[in-house]
Amino acid sequence: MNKSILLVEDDQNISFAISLLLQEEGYSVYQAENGIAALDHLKKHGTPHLILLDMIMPGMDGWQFAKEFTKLYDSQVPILVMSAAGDVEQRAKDIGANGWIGKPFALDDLLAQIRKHELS
Amino acid sequence: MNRLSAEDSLWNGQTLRALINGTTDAIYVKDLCGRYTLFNAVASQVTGRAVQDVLGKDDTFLFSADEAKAVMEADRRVMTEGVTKTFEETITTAHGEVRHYLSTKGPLFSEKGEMIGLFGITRDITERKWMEASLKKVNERLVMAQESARAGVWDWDILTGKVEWSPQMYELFGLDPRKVSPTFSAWKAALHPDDAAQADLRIEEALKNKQMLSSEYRVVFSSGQIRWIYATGHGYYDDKGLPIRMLGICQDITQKKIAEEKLRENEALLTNIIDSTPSSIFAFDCNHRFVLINQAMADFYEMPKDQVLGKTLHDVFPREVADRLYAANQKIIENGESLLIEEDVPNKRMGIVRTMMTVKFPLKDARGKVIGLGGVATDITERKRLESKLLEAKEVAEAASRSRATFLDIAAHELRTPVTAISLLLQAVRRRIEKGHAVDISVLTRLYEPVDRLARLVVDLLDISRLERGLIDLQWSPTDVVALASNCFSEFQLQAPLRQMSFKGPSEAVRVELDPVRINQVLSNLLDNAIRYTPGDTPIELYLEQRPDSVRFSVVDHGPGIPREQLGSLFQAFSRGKSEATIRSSGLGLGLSVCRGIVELHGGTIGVSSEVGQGSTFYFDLPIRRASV
Repeated sequence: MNKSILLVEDDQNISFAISLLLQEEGYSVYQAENGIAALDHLKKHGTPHLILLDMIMPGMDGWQFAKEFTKLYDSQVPILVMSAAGDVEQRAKDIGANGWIGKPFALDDLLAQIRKHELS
Repeated sequence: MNRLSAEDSLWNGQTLRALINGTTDAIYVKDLCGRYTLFNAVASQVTGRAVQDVLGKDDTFLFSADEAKAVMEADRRVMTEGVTKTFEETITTAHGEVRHYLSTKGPLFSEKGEMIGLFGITRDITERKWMEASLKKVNERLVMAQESARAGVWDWDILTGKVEWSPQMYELFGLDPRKVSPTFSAWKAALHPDDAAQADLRIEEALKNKQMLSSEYRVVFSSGQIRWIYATGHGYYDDKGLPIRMLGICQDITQKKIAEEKLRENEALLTNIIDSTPSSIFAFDCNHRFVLINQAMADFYEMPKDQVLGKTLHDVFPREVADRLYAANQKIIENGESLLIEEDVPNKRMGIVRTMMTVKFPLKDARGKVIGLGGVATDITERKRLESKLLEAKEVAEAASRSRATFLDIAAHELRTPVTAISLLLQAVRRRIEKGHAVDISVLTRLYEPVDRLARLVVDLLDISRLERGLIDLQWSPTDVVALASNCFSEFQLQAPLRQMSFKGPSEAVRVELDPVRINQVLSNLLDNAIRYTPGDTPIELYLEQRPDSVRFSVVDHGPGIPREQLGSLFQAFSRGKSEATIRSSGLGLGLSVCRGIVELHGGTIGVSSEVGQGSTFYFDLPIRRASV
């Protein structure tokens, strides 16, 4: 069975491209446009093997989502932060994420991060 | 013969005897050998010898050896020269008292003309001698006093008009005693023309009021030199109280006058300096009474100087202010140390508070004893204001520098997002091609959006930079804003055909002087934001309202709304604040600050009202008539 990834990203093009690429690598990718949609997905489908999280999103941003997620799911699901901000590493630390990747990035770098942190 | 015998009877008779014994002078006659042949009662009294005892004896019987020798020597001279002479003799009386006598001695001749002896009349002049000696001393002292005081004495006999001047008077008035005789008019003629009448009047008044004359006037020497004279005088009056004489002295007080004038000048100079300074200057005595305040202080408190001098703090200030100042001043008087204070001083009358920097210091006499305190208060309100303004400006500059850094962070973030989309889309396309999969055209079509966004961002960044530097020139033209809004709206309808959008505006054309390209840019930006940042299923409305002097464009969305604390900095490119929350909402920022710049160049205003959960309304107003520049 394919490993599942929850992709929380408001930019439709970025979300589309990442999904396309990860699907070709054999992942099941679920897209959510913000934290609200992501929580909604988790509620319906349970936790994935990894969460890819953008930080700045309308509706519910990455910080709020991480807070809610930690509160609702006492899980080991790793979170990878994706951000175009200069202080992406700090943002990842803020929410206790497992790893981070700065936008823009090469797919290989993203895959390396995913493979390093994904649940087995 | 009858007359002669009558004369004889007079000389030999009772009368002569009575004369000799009745006089207060000692009278005596001696023969050629110096033996007394006549010795009157007074002589007997002075010598303390009975007449009978003396007759037939010479002076050695009466006096000590030295005195007798002197007397006999005088007698010898009279008889040798055969003329009457007057001598001063000193004789010790029977009571042992040394007294002075004036003796007139002359030869006595017989009827045949032979010298038969001498007569003597001796008068006691001891009192007179003493008086003379005293007078001499008094006179010496007077001269001494006059000379040392450079004083001249004048004596005016009012009845005769005669005036007497001591020699110094001539010197004082620059007059030559050989040419000028002392008269009242000579005195008056020597005076300075401006002072003559006044000096005259002073004398008149002193006599009239029976007061001491005290008068100052100038004297003009023939050389033109001017001297100051101080005259004092005393009047003498007859039984009826009419003035008969005036006696006085004159003194040269030129040096004193010069010194006084110098002092006055110095004082005037000091007062001038003290009154010209904008700082308040004051001084108190040890009883906390004002002894000096300058003009600046009088002006500050709007109190005339003479109403303050001599008053205490409590007379001048409200109680609480006076209490506070009194305590501070008392400390300085007690400790003798200076104090520098900065305090806010209320001006009761002006109703304003000024910040004063005051230095207070003890005033000491020559021996170092504190005799009061002085102070200088400088109004530093303006300086304080400038200081705080400067500080404010510094803070603004620092904030600007901080927000510029924040701006660059935001700009970089904004640029990275479309770049990431393009990069990932291209990577996806490449993978598919590498694996021999077909590439759907829709994947490539997706590239347009981030590329457009990137292009717009670059334009926005350039516009912001040019607005900041004032490099944007508007191309003004009268424009129908109804058509402008309608066209812009239609374009967005084409771009987002699924979005529920509406436009409401005036049915008739409304012409406004504006730059149509720039205003279209503003309106597009607001519509673009509304579409981009609100959920796709919420409607968007565009309104155009005509107002008396302006038109208002409003873009209304029904999205999540914007928190109140972020509204303020929404339109400011460089001061978005440090708050993480504001940065999170980026994407709205750059375009809005461009919009604000353009609207303000048109003389208009831009604003937003928003309620979280209800949506936002972005609007801008433009004046219908272009403001004259």
